[in-house]
Amino acid sequence: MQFNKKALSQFIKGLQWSSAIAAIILGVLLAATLVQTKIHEPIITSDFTNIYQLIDRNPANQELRDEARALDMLARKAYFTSIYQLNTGTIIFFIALAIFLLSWNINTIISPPPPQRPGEKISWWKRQTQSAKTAAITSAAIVIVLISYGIFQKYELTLVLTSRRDAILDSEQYSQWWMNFRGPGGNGVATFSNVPIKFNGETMDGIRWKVETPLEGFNSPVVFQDMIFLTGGTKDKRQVYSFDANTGKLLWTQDVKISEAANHDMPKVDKETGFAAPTAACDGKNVYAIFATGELAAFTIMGKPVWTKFLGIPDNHYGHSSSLITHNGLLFVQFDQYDVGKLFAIDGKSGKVVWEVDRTLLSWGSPICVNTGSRYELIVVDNEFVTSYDPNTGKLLWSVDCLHGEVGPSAAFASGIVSVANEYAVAAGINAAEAAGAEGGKASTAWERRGDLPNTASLVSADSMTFMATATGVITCLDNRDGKVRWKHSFERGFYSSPIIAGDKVIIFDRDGIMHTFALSAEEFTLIESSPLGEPVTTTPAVMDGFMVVRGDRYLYRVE
Amino acid sequence: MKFLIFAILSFVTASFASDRFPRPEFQTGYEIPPNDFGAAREIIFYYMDVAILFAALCLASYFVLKKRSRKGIVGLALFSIAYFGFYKKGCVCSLGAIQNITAGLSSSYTISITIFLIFILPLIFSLFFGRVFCSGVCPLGAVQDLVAFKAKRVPARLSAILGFIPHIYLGLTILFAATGAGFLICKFDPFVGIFRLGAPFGIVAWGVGILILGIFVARPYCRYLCPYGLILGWASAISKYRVKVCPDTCVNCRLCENVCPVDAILPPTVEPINERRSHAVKRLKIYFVMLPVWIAVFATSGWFSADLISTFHPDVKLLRIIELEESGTARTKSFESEALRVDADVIAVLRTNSERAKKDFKLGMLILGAYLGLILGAYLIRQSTHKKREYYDADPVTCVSCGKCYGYCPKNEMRNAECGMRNAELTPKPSSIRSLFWLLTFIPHSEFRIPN
Amino acid sequence: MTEQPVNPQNANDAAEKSIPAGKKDVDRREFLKTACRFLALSVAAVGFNRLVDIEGGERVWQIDPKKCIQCGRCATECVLNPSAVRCIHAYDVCGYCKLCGGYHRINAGKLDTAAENQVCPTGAIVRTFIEDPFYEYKIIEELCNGCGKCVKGCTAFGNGSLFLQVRHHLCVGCNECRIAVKCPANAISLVKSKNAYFSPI
Repeated sequence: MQFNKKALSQFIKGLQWSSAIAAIILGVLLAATLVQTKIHEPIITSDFTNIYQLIDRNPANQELRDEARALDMLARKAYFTSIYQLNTGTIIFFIALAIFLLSWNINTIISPPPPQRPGEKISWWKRQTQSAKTAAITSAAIVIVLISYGIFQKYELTLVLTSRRDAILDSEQYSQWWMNFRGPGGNGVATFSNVPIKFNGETMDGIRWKVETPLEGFNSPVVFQDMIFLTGGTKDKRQVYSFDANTGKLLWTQDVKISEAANHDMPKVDKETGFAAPTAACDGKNVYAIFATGELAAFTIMGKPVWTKFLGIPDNHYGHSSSLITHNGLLFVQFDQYDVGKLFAIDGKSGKVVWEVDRTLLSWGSPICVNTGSRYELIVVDNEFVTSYDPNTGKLLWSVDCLHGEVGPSAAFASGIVSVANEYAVAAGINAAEAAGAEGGKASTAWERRGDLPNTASLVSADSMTFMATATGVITCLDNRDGKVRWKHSFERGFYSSPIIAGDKVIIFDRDGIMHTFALSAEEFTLIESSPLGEPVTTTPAVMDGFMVVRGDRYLYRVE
Repeated sequence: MKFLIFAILSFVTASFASDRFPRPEFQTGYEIPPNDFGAAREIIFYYMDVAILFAALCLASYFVLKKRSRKGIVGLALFSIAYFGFYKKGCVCSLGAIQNITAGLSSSYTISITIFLIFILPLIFSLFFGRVFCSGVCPLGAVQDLVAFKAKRVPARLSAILGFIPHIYLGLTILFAATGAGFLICKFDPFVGIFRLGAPFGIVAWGVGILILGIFVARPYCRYLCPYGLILGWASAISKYRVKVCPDTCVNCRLCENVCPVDAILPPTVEPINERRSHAVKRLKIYFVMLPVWIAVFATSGWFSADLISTFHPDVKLLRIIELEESGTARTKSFESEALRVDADVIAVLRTNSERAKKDFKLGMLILGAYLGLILGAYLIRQSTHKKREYYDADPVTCVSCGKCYGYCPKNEMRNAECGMRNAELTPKPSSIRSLFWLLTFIPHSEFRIPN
Repeated sequence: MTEQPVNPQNANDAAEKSIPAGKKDVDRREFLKTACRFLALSVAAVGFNRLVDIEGGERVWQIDPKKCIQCGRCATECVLNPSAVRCIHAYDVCGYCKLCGGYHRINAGKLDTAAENQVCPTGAIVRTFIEDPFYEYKIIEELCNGCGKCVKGCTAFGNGSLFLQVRHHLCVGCNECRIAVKCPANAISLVKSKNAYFSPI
């Protein structure tokens, strides 16, 4: 009898422990399963989107279909299993909990414990006053908190909020995103160094998604938060798009159609320029787009129209192609054309022109806005001059007469040197500090050199290096202190897309869409990787933290 | 637009349907299958639920007052957990029905007879027999009653503060239901996840949390949260019969005082009062003068917190979402704005609705604040008066009729005959001030005891 | 556990056991209480009269397909897993199309029953050939999770014979429906149970 009792109590103890452990394990497992199903909804995966896109493109490919079916089967199985697991798991969890509670208190239930000796009586009166005091103090504290919160909210908080609403992104926030052509400042240097370099657009290796761009355009993607902005245009239609950077889903499309422009004849544009060559710019609040028709439009990043402006049909035989850039809430539009061009600084919020300067020469390059040490300078190139303006006032800081021809490549800045180049002209370096000190703003070059000059691809600079990529496939590394060639390498295909510096690497897409990655080194050319995108690339990729958005001729890709 | 034009209500008859594709005429003699819409729960079952609730309340009253049997109450509790909990999945319960009633009073929301009965039956029983609903009929109370194995005393001061929470909870619940901001009690129902054997994670976690707390603190939800318990307490305060300690047989063993899980047994006040009468009167005068001050201060703080609280109203929330989208700050379009097809008119209507809701909340929070001020003032007045109690008594407001004391009372058997139903003439003589505030001062009396 | 109950005789108390005097006082008090009770009861009676809609019967949750925008929250917000909302097919509205917006994915290359061409993520729609060019579509309720993808397709491109609805044999009838709270279109409301599955009141 004694033994039995002992065995029973041991059994109950074991039951108690095992049910407790079971309940805890099940609880943790259930929570984990829940979290997992919340994170990846098992049945709605982007894998499907990708594979379905592939199938749509290759309807005859049976292998893809089989793969899709297998994936579908797997996803459905996972879905129903997770539901089954969750539901049965919860029931078992509750049963385990009930067993635990029962076994823990089996003694209490079978034979309730005898009543305990009551403690000392304490003074009822004392307790009354204590409770009253505590209640009064606590409620006074709560009331004070509530009232002061109310006052704070009414006055202080609204101040904080209103000031935050109008705040402009500072340069550090600005550099977290790819807000305009060639990234921060338009200088071609990415903030993040972890650019993906190994991918294959044909097998979709390293491509998270790929979506077709509705209208053609040789403008490059810009990225803000997880939105991508692009434009597209034809003779009949000009549009601005926003894509979800995570899924590639088209978030919004907005037509740009200014009635004043409709009264004019459409400009003639070159096939390789098109109606939507200028890249859009974003300032964190609005996104701005300009087209070869001289139509300029601003939308909120959610796609709500803010303002539009018709600048007149530009007199430009290839089509307007200078991209937009913003700085301190101002949008800069380099609207160069024969004789009557202008450089505008427009208030992003209202669309009002803050300042404008006359420009007399044509160009196809884009402005860059860089900190040259003590101040920001807006540096633009045209068919003769390299000119620097004060972005806040439009005051001409300096200009150098060193270019000629039809200038396409934009300038690059590093280590105090502005590098410029154009095919059939020269490559030149300008010392920004010396130029700023030049009398009457008429500065001169620090060095000039000829040979292997770029046609459309812009320059990039880092430290003492400047890289040029020609339309014939030659990449040259110059020393931007003296203009000497450090090394030179010839590729099979030429470059229209501009190089980008990301950490210790330089990436560039050739005209076939193969991305070459080489080391950022003045010593020698070291090819790190060549990855094909699978279609021609004319635009410049947006390099973000761990991924890259690139626009091919027909599709937009997220590479990671 | 296509979407809008062709959105249809198609299932009543075919004539409502879009004619985009006409119904085919089959050559092979195919018969269109009947629409399988299934049936709703039969109405008779709803009435059965009410009948069972009534029967359970009768049984509870019998066990509590006549039979004085803890075992009977536990049996009933098990049944209630099984039926009202697991079978009926906890909905609609008497607690939640507060909100239906409020919504019915303040808007065009109509209430079915069963919901009204579910709300009112426990209250009527409470008017006559005390909180018998809490003992073993309410599935929430029953679950907590059964798990309170290792219940510890809650310090008196903590208990006093926590005792205010049901007032706030009840006030907010009524405010939310009246303004159409949602059903708070349902949102924070602790055990619905357990009764349904699975629910969204937050609900289950909250339920398991309360359950585990309930092992160490007896009936935490009943005592420090339940808004319905508060109303039941008010009804119970004027009840005809209730759980009593019978003075003629009581041997002052204090066992019931010790075992009561909700500190509802009030001991006799035996200590001599050392305070001068004039001093006590003066203090009381101050408290009476302070009463309007409390009301004003609490009303003000209610007013100030109204904006914060009103952000939970769906119209206010929706306007915020839409405004964010319109201002271009929000990243993606919400389904709400897709459904609304937002334009200036919609926003204008939404803005008026939102303003109205905010106004309602301002007024509601003002009243709630004033009410809380009154409660606090009354509590302080009550706590500052000397109560004379010459024998043990169960507090009608806080006693949940769980019957735990019956098992420990050495004279319980005797009382069945002698004392069970007689309590009216044994009610303590109220002081004139206390009777004034009788209806307001229902903060639980909490026991503060040194364990041996 | 060995501790004995306290001997009642030892627990001495100063409390007196006299029945309180002043019968009159007690009577007045009892009278007040009774008055209060009757007051409360009459308030309840008035409330009953004012609030209760006797003819209305019970109420159940229902989706108004006219308002529904198929956002997919029915599948995720219900307290049940899978949701009590399922897709229902009204056969007499169906066009029996070969290309079904509720069955086939947009861009589906072939209009066959292959998994990659279907819109339903759980494969809950069964299609049967009847005669050229008509096909019958049937929802397998056990597989349906109420995501509404098929409903979206059917509403946009078809007759709208597929629609989401609360299935009453699954619904536990929460006092406040969690989906109704989250529904962006306010499409879920309480309707009289005798009219369940029909147009809202």
